[in-house]
Amino acid sequence: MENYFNKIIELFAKHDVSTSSQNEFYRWLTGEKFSGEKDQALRNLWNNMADSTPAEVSYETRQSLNEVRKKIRQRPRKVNTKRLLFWQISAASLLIALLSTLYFAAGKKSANTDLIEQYTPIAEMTYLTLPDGTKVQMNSTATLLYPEQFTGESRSVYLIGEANFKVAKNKKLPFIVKSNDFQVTALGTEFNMKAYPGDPALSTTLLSGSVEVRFNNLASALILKPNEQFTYNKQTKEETISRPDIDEVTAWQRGELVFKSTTLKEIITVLERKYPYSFVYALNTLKDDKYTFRFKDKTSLREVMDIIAEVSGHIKYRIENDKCYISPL
Amino acid sequence: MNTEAYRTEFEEIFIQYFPKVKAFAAILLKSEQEAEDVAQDIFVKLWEQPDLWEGYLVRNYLYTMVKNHVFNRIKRKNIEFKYINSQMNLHSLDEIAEFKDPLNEIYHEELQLLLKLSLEQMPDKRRQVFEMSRFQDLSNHEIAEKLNLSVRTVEQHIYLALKELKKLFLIAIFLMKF
Repeated sequence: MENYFNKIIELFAKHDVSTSSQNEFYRWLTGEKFSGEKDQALRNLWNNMADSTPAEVSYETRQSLNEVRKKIRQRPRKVNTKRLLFWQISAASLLIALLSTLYFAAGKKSANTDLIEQYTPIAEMTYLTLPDGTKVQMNSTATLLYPEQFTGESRSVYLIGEANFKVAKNKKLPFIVKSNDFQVTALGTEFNMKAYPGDPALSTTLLSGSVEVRFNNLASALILKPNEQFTYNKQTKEETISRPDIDEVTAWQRGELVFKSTTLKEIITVLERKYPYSFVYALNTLKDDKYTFRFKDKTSLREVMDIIAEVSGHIKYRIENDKCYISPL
Repeated sequence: MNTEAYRTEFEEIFIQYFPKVKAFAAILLKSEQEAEDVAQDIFVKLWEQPDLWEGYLVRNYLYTMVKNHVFNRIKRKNIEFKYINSQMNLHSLDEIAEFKDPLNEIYHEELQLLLKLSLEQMPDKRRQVFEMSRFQDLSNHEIAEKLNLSVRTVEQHIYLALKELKKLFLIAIFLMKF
């Protein structure tokens, strides 16, 4: 049966296909059903493609490298070199620790089957159960790396983005969620963790039980009580503890959108994760005014934008294909 | 690691993997330009994630990234997905698979897509005859009349089409069982 999946992908890869077949293929490929088998077939295709060696670098690849270099230079520099260096070392050591818990403790088993990545595309949510029974709900564009089986002294996973964890109780094996800038250790508990690379601040909110949060290159630690939220600002390296409205923290899990005194720019960052549209606007169109909105599950982008345009009073919008254009009124 | 070493390491990874990432995206998106955009975006992001440059991890991470980017693009295309031609029913699939396999029902969607993609690789006339015969239920005589062919030619086309499809499906089924 696996072979049906490989064969479909092989046929599509090798030949020119009609637009209608291409669309059928896309619908099938991105469909929920048998997503594991489809992923495996795609992975086979990927694994069968050779890496390149420096000897065979083509002119086009050089060209692409130059363009990528240019794009990197144009990006706003978030950290200076010295900090980057420091951060790299800490990230590398963190990763080595993660890797050793994930792979090497697993013994002689091939590393190839060990690590699983779960990604949630734009405009979707993923529910999954980890090998230890921990239930995870992942928000749009989040990535979770976890081992096929937990071995060793702890249960470690790596999160980029936002997710809610209902940790299966196991006092002997602490459950650790790592991200670039902090990590959370739990025994049996429920918490929400938000660590999108693009956001200036990361946060974790404890819903029940207790967790330990480590940050500042794992040098500082503190214990959260239920309903407390830990926020860490990546730029200023400042941490705060607050008691937010839990209903608001978990709103995304019910599909709701909640913004509390949030700028339009921040709102758009969230909308871009939630809806499959990219936003086009000039930065000076968006003022720094802060807004509070609450939208129900399944509100369309049009409804959301209608209300935002109405309330802000200084912008208008237009949706065309997969783009949402925002311009001054 | 100083800035220079950082840059050198990034370039090594770029040279090793960029062509592969781009080729993979191009296979799925069927567009060189889109594939180039996807691959460049991924490597711009990778620059900021040096903790993921580790050998095994980067390969795995790049696969995930390219898959996600491609899936996002596919979703953004806002394709109005229509269900596969309903005239392609299980009956015609059973004929090709030669025996009734309970798995064929489970993998109905896969078999249909496989059939559609395989049909497209056939010569036009052969495909047309086969579709008229099996999906529109026309008799060989009716097809011959409509396409201005001899009945014998129509039979020949159907025979060849079935032979080709059976071969393909047998390979799929054979490999699946062992």
